[in-house]
Amino acid sequence: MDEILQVKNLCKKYDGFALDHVSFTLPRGCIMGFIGENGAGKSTTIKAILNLVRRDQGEILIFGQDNIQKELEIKERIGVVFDSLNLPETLRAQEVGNMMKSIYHQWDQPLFAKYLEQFDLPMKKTIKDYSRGMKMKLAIAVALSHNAQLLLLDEATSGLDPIVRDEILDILLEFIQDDSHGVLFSSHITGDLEKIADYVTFIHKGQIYFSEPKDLLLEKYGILKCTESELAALPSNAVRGIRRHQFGVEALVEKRALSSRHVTDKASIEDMMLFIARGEHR
Amino acid sequence: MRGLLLKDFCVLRKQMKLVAIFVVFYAVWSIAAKTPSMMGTMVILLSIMMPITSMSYDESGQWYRYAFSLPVSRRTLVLSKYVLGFLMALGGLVVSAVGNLAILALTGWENTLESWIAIAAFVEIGVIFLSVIIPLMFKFGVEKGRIVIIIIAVIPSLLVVLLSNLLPSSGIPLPSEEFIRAALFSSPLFVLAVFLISFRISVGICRKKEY
Repeated sequence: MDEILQVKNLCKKYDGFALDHVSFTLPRGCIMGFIGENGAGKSTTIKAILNLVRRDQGEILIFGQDNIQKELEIKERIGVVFDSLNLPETLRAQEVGNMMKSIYHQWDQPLFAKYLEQFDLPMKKTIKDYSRGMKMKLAIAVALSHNAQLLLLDEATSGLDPIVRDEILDILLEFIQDDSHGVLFSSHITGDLEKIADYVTFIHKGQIYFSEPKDLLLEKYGILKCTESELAALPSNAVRGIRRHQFGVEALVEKRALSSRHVTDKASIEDMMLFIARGEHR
Repeated sequence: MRGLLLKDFCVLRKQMKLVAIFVVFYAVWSIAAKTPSMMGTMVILLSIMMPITSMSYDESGQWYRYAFSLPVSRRTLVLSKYVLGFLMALGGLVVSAVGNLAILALTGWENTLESWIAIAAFVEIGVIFLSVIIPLMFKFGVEKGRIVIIIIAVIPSLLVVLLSNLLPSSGIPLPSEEFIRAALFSSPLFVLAVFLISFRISVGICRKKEY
């Protein structure tokens, strides 16, 4: 069993928005960045994985098991961090530990205490008095202290300063040292993903545009700066998005579909997102 | 389950301290106003409000989506709220009973059946109230739930007013003393049944809901 998480043809319809046959696979030992603009369907997908919303269609396998049939067993082994710490603000870290001890079978109190110390989180202060970064670190400490194998993070780094974000990325990298683990990490801060992700999955208007190894993506796409007539001469299967400027045209292109005389610039993950989501298509 | 209750008690810590102060305050007032059951009924009212307070905290902190990401089933979470409600009603009953005895001992007033009936009736009404309100809060959320509660509360009160106006002239006899006595002893069972049915309904609502 190589896959830690498989989402197959996930559909979920709302008024004015739908997840449309969302599919991707997260292998063990990998961090997958899950990107897309606000409202693209990242959170809905993660909620469907957690069975917080019901799917209309499709299949979700975690550790090879159906996420609904084996819901509680699976949840013993995953750690979840949302964009905010959803624990009551009047609690203290110590009480959070006591509470989790009777929720998770495999709760590891000494490990939790170790993380609190490592993250500089005072045991006896109420959460109310924590900074935003501290709250998120507490959420991560909880997610890591019960022998979780899969971490799901939904916008966990948004709104944090670069230093705390970097700390969190380091924690994820440490977690993934064990190659039976896996991380699905949704974010629109593409720089973070570029630092740590092995895979990048891009969702746009409820559809998956690509889900591929990051290195492959960076190799595959380039940005071509050219004139209108040069653009018109390109093979149509090469162009994935076009942006027009005052002085010319930029296109996100698949490099292998172009001849060698075209010189392209490197395309970052953010470029890919912008060209596909905001650029023109032909 | 124990973890969930632990969390609720931590959240309600401040409120419970406040209630402790209220107990003393209302005890003094009860004596001053010469109405022994007042302290008891107020304590029960405050303790019945506790589960509702905890649910509004849960909702504003987006607790549910987090709780259901942990190995917590929807049934367990709903059960924890009913257990909390039960413990609070029980706590209210004990505190007000002890308080009542203390007031009687301090003042030397006559130990009347009425004051005990008032306390018992208040607990029962409180539990019925929780049975109605908890499913509504799970279904509609705290804000919308409140509006629905007001609407629902208006209907029975109108009925009571209507009936009390109609009854004397309609010739329907008032219930006999025996009937009242029987109702008094069988009512705890009735209340418990309502509470259990309400639990089942809440589980159904919570399972269907998306967070």
